[in-house]
Amino acid sequence: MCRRILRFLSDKRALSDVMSATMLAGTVVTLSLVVYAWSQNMSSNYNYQFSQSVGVEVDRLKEKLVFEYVYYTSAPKSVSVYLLNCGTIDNVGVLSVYVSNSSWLQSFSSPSLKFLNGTTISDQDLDRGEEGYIVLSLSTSLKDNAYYSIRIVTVRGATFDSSFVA
Amino acid sequence: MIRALWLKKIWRGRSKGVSSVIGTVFLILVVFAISTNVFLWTISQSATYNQAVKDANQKNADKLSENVIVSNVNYSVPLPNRVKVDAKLTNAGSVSAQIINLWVFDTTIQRYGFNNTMTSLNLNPGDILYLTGSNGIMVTIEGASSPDNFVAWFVTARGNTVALQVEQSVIIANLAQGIGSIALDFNTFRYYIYSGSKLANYPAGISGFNVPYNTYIAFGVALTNLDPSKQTISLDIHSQLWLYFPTVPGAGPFVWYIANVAADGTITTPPYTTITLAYTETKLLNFVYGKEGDSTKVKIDHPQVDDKLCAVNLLLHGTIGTQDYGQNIPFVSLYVS
Repeated sequence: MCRRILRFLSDKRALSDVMSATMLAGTVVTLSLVVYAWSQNMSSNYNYQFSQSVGVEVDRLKEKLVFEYVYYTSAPKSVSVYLLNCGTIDNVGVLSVYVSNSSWLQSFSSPSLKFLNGTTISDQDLDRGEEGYIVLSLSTSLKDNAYYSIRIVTVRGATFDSSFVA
Repeated sequence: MIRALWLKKIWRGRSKGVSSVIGTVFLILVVFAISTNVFLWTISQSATYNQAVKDANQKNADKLSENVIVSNVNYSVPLPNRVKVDAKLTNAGSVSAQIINLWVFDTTIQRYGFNNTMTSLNLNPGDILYLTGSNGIMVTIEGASSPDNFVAWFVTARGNTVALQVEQSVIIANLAQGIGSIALDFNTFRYYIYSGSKLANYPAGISGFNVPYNTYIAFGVALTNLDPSKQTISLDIHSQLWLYFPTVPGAGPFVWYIANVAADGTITTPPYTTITLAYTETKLLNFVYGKEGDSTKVKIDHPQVDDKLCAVNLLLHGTIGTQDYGQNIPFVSLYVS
């Protein structure tokens, strides 16, 4: 056996074949590992992005804002919107608000959220069970007894609609 | 076996196709591992999303199952700018409910207010909650007054709103036979005997319509302001309770004047402090002494009135809002023995 090994080592015939086969195998293995690592990385990225988007969707589903009261005053021209977070997630922020009817629309971005006692909410969001309100200063007077819609878009992208009579 | 052949092949220097096999095996492993990983991850994320959807649906179902009924609603303004809402809440739904806010809108002056500081307004299915009397909910509305009209609604923790509906502000039959602005509760008519300078067993007194003969007594009656114009009534010192015996001419009348009585039964009149009754407010008024501004006790002691029936009248006097007010409430009878 020992002699056979020695003969194998000293035998130069077909050495290049062995070397090439080993190198080819090594290259294939190395490339495979590289491909695996790259694929793993890509799939991890995909998983991460997917989980992020699922998380955002789930958070959006958990958001629930209720309009407790919407009140319009003509002097000053403003709409007060009283909200309650009755969802199952904290930190519901108001990104934008739209007041409209069939022929008119005014948008408001990041209106100031206040507690019902009038103090400004420091983190500008509503946690679970919290009530707050926003005051929207209108650029034009609303028509008396006309029907208007109001839409709130939260920071997470959920939308909540209500309506009021001016 | 295959591995042994494969090694033997390399050993013999015939390694054609080995790399392809290794590459294929690795490729299959990589594809399998990655796809399995992605598949399982997608499944788990899908499960998470489905759970969130189920939770949201359950929450919506609970919200739809919530059914709070508000009845016996009454609005009053006992203090300036303070609207008091009395109501009876019944949870007729299949889920518990928590009331977190009450909104009141004064449609007369177009102002609104709310009270979100209420505590323990939780109702299990079937529970009934009486928010009346001292349990009534106060809401601050600047400029609100009794004659104003109000609408109101409760907000529950699930985000439902429950409107308060006033069936009828005043039922005429509640008034003294449809006359006047104050109703007398016949069922709680009572009299007191004295214990020194106090009324004994105050405020319960002795209920009933049989009073003792030749004994110093005083009377207590529960009156409710049901003024249709919802104004506050103030009763002055002239207000009195008097009784007479139709079958005994010349006996009486016997008179007891209105007086202030402390919670422990101590009579603090004279001097007399005006007693006010806000709209829908019920107060126990006491008629104690026989003369205005005096502390003369009264007893029914005419020799011919023992074992006799007498008629009782309340003569009320004062102001209603800013106007003069006077009302005579009859229909109580007493047997003296």
